[in-house]
Amino acid sequence: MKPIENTENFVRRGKAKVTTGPRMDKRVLDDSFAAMDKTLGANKTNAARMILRSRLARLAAAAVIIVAVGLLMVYRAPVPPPPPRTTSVAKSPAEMLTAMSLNLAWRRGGIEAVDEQTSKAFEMLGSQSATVSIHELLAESNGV
Amino acid sequence: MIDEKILVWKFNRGSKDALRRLYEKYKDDLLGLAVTLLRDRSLAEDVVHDVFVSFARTTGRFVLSGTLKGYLSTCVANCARDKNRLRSSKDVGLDAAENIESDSGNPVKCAAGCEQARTLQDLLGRLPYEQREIIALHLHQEMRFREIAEALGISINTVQSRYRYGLEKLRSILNSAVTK
Amino acid sequence: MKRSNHRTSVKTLCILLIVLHSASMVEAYPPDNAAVLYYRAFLVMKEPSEEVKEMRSDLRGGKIKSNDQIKQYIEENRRAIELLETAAEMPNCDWGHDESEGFGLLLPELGKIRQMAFPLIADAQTLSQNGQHKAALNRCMTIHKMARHVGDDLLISYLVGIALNNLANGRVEDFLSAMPADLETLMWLRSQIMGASANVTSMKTALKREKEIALREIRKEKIEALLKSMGDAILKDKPTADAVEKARKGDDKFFKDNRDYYANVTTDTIAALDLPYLEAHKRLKELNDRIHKDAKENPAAILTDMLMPATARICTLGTKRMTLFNALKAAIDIYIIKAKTGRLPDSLPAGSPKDLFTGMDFEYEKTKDGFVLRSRHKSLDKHETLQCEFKVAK
Repeated sequence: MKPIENTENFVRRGKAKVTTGPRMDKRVLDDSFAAMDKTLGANKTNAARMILRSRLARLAAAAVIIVAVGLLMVYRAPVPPPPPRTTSVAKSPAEMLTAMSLNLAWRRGGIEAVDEQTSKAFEMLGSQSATVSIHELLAESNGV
Repeated sequence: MIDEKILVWKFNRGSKDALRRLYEKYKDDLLGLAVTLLRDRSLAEDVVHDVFVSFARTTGRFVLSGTLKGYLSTCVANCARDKNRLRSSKDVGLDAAENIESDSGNPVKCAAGCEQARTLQDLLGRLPYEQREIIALHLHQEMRFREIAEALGISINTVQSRYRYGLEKLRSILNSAVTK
Repeated sequence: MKRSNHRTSVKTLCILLIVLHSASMVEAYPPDNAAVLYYRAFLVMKEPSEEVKEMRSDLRGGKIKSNDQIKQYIEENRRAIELLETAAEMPNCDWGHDESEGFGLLLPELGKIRQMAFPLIADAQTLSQNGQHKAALNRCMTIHKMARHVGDDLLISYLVGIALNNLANGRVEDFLSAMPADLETLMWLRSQIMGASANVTSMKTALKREKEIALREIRKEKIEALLKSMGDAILKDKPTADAVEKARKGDDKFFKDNRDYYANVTTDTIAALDLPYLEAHKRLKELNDRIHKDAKENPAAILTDMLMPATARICTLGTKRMTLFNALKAAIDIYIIKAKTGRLPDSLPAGSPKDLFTGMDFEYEKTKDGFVLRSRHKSLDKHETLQCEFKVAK
């Protein structure tokens, strides 16, 4: 081995093995999360500002607010007591395809239940024709 | 790698859990780099802190080109260089390596790690900062010369010559230590 | 007129660009991740009509022979079958699971890959019917490779893998009965089955991964998401609904105790899997019962009771899969003897693979059509019975 390679290997092996401690972790994460919140907050404000800057958007926003207030006034009814906290039934295709949901399907009815649940989820998503020609794709994207 | 891309995507959508996982993944490695560059545990911790806080600020608009490890390593190198400039008036002696200790609460683990690395840290400490930086980025962070050149805004020839001079110097220090 | 010409030129240009782009993609084919090809196969697979689905199922059950409609269905899915075969041969398969989603992790490939196995099986049966036995058996080996790619990231993946292995092995059993004594094909099949059985997914790996996820998920800040992912199953009875309420109100200590309990149970479960089947099953059954009992009195067991499936049953299914593999190996050895000597042996050859339910040799019985291999384990549990009937083609 060349002397330079010896030195390189020596340096590689001698990499500092340091670990962060809980104090440092807490400090970094707390400050990072705060910075993240600040950025996210600023982004929202910017988006709102951008919307309000456009005259048309301003009018649209006003119209939405008026309609919303109107609807509220029309449909305003005594607020019913909050329903007892229950867990909603998994219904969306994505929810039906999670590890937990498939696990529960298996517990319920074995591999056939897993098959059935997956098929149902994909049915809900809608099936794509297996043979789509370039012409059809162009027609679809061009709106022809 | 796919997992990392998903984490970055989630981070951009405001997931703190994703940021936490990215931090967990790279924290020790980056702290090691900062310690090598600055040879001061406390300053190194500040560097990693500053890098992650800055990274957190990029949420929603962070674009990953190359590897995240390379990106974060470059940030640490840049930040460490700034810190190094700030303290340049106060020359750090070789004993600064003594500051490489952890608040991890595991003295045995720390001692084993430190012991092995101390000799190298001492030797690297004798190199000019610029050479130390290139050697650490190339040999410890596994960055290519081209990546380093782009990240630090210097030519690839400069990177290679700093690397070569650094290694030559290290070798001569090692040789003189053996002959003594 | 000019405008129409212009439109045509633009369209032609677009098509040219698409074609050129596709051509440049060819260089990247095949990709180094089988999952990409599986997804491509999912997209081009054509769903059969209800009538063909029923026929397909009858064909699998041996009730009917392959017919024109099934053959047409296979031809319509030829591209998908080719993609599956290419994918199955690839060493790497990364589904890109995002584990940070915990048990809410999306696994759309599990059901799809099972569905994809059905045209492969129909094709295999048609090939066998036409006398192309080796090609038919090769389709079954493709399914074993797909099972390996499904992986053992989670127990549900492991279970789907088992279902695929059993689907393939059931057909191998049929094809062995239908094919003439061809020594070369039998030797080839033996090595394929040996390879497939040595490369199956592992319940231990799945348990370890589930443990990692569970320990991240059993936390105060994640409990609502975890309960939501369970849907209405957790409200099925009052004790479970009460347990859910306790979990919702749990403090940090409650979650730490639950994590510790889950970790201990997983460690015990993994240790039990090293025991012979009968002892392992007994131990796991006790463990499953204990978790259920503990959950009523000890709050630390509540989340394990909700999350941990019946591991005793899963262990049985895993053992059944490996026993079926062993039965096939033993049967192939018998067919090899028949091919060499012209007659079936009077007893099992020495060193024949064992029935893993009992650790003993299979019960071997010659019948007028061929022979039967039977597990000696007598149990009322339907999952533990195993009997393979093999015929000798005239």
